[in-house]
Amino acid sequence: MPTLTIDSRQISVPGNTKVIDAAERLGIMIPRFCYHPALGAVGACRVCAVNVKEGPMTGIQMSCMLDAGDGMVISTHDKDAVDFRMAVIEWLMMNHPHDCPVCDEGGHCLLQDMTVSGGHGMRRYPGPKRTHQDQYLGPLVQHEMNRCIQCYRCVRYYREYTGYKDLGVLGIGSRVYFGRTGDGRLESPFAGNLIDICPTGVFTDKPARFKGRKWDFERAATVCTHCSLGCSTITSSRYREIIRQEAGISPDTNDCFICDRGRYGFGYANLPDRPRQYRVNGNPCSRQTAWAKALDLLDTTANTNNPSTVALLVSARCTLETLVTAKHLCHRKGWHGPVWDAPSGNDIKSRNALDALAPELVATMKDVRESDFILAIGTDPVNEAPVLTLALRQAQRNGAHITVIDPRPVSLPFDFEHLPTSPEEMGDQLAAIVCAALGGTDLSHLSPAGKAFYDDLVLRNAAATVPDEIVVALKKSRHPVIVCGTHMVNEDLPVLAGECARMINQPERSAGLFYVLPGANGFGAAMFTETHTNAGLLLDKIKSNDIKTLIAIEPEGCAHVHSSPAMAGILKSLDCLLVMDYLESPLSRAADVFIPTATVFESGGIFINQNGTGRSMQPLYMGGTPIFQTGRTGPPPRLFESDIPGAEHVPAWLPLADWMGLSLSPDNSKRRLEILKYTIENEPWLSALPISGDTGETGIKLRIPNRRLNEFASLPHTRNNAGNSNSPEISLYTVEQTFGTELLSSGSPALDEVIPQIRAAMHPADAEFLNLADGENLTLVLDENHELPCNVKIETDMAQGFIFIPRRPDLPWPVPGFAPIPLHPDQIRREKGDLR
Amino acid sequence: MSNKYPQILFQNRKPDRIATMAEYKESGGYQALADALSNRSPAQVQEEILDAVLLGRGGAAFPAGRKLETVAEDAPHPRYVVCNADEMEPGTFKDRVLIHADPHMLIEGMILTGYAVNADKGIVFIRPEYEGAAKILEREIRFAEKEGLLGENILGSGYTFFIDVHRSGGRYICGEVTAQLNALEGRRPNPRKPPPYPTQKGLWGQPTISHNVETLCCFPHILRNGARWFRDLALTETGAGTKIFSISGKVNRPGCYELPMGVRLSEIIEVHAGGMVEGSTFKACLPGGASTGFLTPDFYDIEMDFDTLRKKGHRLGTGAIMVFDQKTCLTAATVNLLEFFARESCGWCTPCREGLPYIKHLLTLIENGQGSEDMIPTIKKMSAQLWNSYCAFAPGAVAPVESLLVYFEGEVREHIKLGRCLLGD
Repeated sequence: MPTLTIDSRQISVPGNTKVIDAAERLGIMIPRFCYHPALGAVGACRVCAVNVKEGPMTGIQMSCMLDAGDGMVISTHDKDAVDFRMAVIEWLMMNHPHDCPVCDEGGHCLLQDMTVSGGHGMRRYPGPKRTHQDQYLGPLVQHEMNRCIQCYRCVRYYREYTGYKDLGVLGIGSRVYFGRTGDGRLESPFAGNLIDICPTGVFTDKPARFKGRKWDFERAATVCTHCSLGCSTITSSRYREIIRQEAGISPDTNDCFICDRGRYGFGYANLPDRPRQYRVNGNPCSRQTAWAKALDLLDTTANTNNPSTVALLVSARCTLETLVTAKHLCHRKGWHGPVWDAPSGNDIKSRNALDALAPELVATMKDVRESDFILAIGTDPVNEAPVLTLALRQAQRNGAHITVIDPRPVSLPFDFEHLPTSPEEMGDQLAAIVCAALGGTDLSHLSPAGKAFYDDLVLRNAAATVPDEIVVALKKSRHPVIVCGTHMVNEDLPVLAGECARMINQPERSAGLFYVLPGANGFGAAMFTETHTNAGLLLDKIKSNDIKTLIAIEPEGCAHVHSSPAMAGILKSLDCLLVMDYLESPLSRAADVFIPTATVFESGGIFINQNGTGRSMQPLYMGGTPIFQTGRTGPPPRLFESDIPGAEHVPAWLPLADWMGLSLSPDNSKRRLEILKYTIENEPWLSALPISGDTGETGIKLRIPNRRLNEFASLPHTRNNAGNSNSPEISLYTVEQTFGTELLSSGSPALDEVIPQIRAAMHPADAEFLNLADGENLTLVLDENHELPCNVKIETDMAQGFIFIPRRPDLPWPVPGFAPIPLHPDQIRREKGDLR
Repeated sequence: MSNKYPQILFQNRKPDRIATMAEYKESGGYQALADALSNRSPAQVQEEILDAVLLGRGGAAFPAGRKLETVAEDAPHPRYVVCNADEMEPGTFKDRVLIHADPHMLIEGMILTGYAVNADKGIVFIRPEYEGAAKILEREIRFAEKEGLLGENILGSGYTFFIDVHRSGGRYICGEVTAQLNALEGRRPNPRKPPPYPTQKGLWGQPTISHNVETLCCFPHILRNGARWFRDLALTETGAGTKIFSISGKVNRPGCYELPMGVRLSEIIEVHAGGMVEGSTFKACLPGGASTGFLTPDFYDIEMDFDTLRKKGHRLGTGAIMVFDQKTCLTAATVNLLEFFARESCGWCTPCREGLPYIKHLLTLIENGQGSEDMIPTIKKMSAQLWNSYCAFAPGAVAPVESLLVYFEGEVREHIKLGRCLLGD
């Protein structure tokens, strides 16, 4: 712990602390451009100069490059240091345009702050400014190269941190240029972070351009709801419209960066045709009418039929408050559910995962970044949980060995080992790796169940061969992490992965377990929905007339695939369909009563991410409150009626609480806290959450009680490949894609341009068998009513016997929950006029 | 020729062709290598070089022996020897002449350096304009390999060492040691900030010794004739060995001359370079390439060795002497040099990338008669501030500017007063 003096104040800091950070701990913010906590110190901009009065090297030094040493005396406001920093700012402003008023970064700009605070008010340099041509970088990021101050943050982030190579530095001297070799969309799905890390206006948010200054916005810390990672975001809104999102800082999850799906996926909340009107039988009506009608229908059903004929459907996009209220409502009324509307099978796999998630194994993204061996099984990070890719990349940069076992053509922006394996065989491969790595280890401490599990592994081991270097790397590893998906896996794989993590977790090796769950609140949905049912079974019950009333709350799978005649038929047999949502869908259009709900930006709410961290999000704006206006001199909002417009839609939990008879305050912000209090108080394991709703920057770690502690599960062998190997059938799977498959973000107009066309990925051997060439058009005949036109994409790095297509919400899929479809070669039709 | 001094590095130099391997061997070449491999340990080789006080000839004058010592005995393999033949310092042309005169001297020097630190591979990083020299080296390396002097198991000693020739992308900054390593790795040639030093973690993170061509050429001679002999070659107490001076400018016989370290500047100009051209008188010279300060007539008799110049606040640099006469405007000359440096900055750090064009612009205005008095203190202050750059590029680049404003401030102010250049056309 060196102790040093900065500006006459002493501070002790841990070893390897840079002077710039030591000063920050004292509250002294030394100016910086090139220095960034996630990117490290490189000493390029020279604006963090300080004067070292006593130390091994005295004089002007760069505080970002200087390790704090014992006994150092440092001045940040010494004349030499201040003069030098002013000179640096003058140099940076030599070529920077003086047009802050028309620059989108203005008010939000580090260079602007430094120029003003550095006192560089007048231009002294008599020479001309060098200028550059801007490039087209796609629909999301705007490039204005003249504003560049050459801090190199962008390329260090883009090339080193994320591993993508299409943005770089060109030229030397004062002509260095940061861009691509030519116009074109940035390839990285993390390119939006350039906007955040650029200290000036070279990279700005293109869809948000000219929509407001920082001070015009209502801003709040939010949680990204576009996958299960729960990244930290900061959302800005103006006039009840979300304008832009930035990455928040959260060391345990996303560090400082988010993906473009999270950054630009908010568009669904702004859609002009978003349903904001109550409807009865498809006709707009007032809130009172709709509520009365809903109550009437529910009463009738409950009276004429049995209460168990009423079913409640929820999804992973519901807030924790909604899920808990739905659960309690069902219990109190004796209704069926709540049923989790998840893609086929993902619900049971998620529940299995949470069962295996032992508290001592829970890994955060930080643990992934710091791990030295990662085995990702049944997950495609870039497409399912994009920011996980960045965590893997950081581990890889630090020398971690990374293996992905997955049938899909997984592509990551760095070197890794991919074992393309069918879902049936993934478990065997995992077992083989763990078994081989444990060979020779003393396992005498294991319980009988543990030993039985190990014997089971040995049996499975015989079924697979794995590359030696993976085993060697795992043997050497001290902090291995097993990452397991919940989509492209068998039902028992999450348990197997969890138990394998427990197996390799030994005194000298602390293992981690990281699940990728479906949806933003998959954790909450798995915890608060009924275990012995699912959306598929529910539909069966409707068909068999066991369910007569369906209440769908922000549904996910069912809502968007029911265009099939079969599904329409199922819904016809309902007495009453009640839909509550903020998205329009075939289901909402068919509803007898439709209640428009508020998005998370309007209602706030808590989401539990895949590792059990609860993070709350404050509402940015609420219907029924006056619109925030910049400045105080403007006229007050004029009211023409007793209600302020925009107050019609309500949080989804509000009608539920009403039906349950909870008396809540009419005031939005008060009843938000009341429902939160109700949620926390009625679910004991949520008691770690504060009733104030403030979960802080890092969130609250929730641990599920009654998990099997130190006891291994016995696994049924669900392998079932008998006969499959000889069958000519090909399994058609729908898979997630970074853009276009996630329900909320696929409704965001900003992302329209980046959503790729539907292509059917297949193995070269399958393509040869089917006589198809890359780029050829074909039609997949799903059943007599459903045909899917698409385009062949041959991928060498995937398992044989599969076709993968993106799981677009608008796919005409005949099976509920996007369940895989076995295709006979006759069902794969080559289109005329093909490429050959 | 009036050169009375012993010719060591130039002993086989011929006016029309390079020396062959046979000629080099005849003059004693490869004896040092055979002797070292069979009779000396790497530590003894290091000691001899250290004893000889061989200072780096690329301009930084770091003791070559000390550099060798910093490679730890248990350092990891592979270890590299990089020969810096990226001779881009304006006014310097000694390395090219050396390679064209006696390429095997460089090859033997590299093998000996490799042996001293038990290196596995040598790389000649050569300026792309020196394509001729690169071809010569490639050919002569093959000859040396055929003779068993290079490659696997050299002369049956068990020591193995290979040499590759790598052509630079062609930028001045590639001559900077750490930038050169980045260039070799295929990265942008931005300098790296030590620590770690290249001798610990250099090329691809492995221990790397970088030496200038001339430094490496001294190795065989020191090992063959002894450290004492080498030190005695110099005329001054502090100097050691000979130095190759590349002389250009207003002299009668510009060219490359091998002279003892410590020879007087006056002797170099008057005797070896044949004096000033008709009608010219000595006004100033740059003693060691474009990144050193001007020597005025006050220093006309100075002993040209690293130590003497350093004590007077100057640098011998590469020993490239550019002679200016009274008809040359030094402001214009400095603008010319600055143009080179502003163009060649790698663009990594702010002071160098933006400061050099800034100073260049002000000095150009002054030279053009559009300057103002307040520009002079601005240039002075900014030149001093450029010392806080990332690497040694900018301090070198402002050396002529700083000395211009020390010794010739009057001449610069004259431009401002008259609104034109006195010496211009």
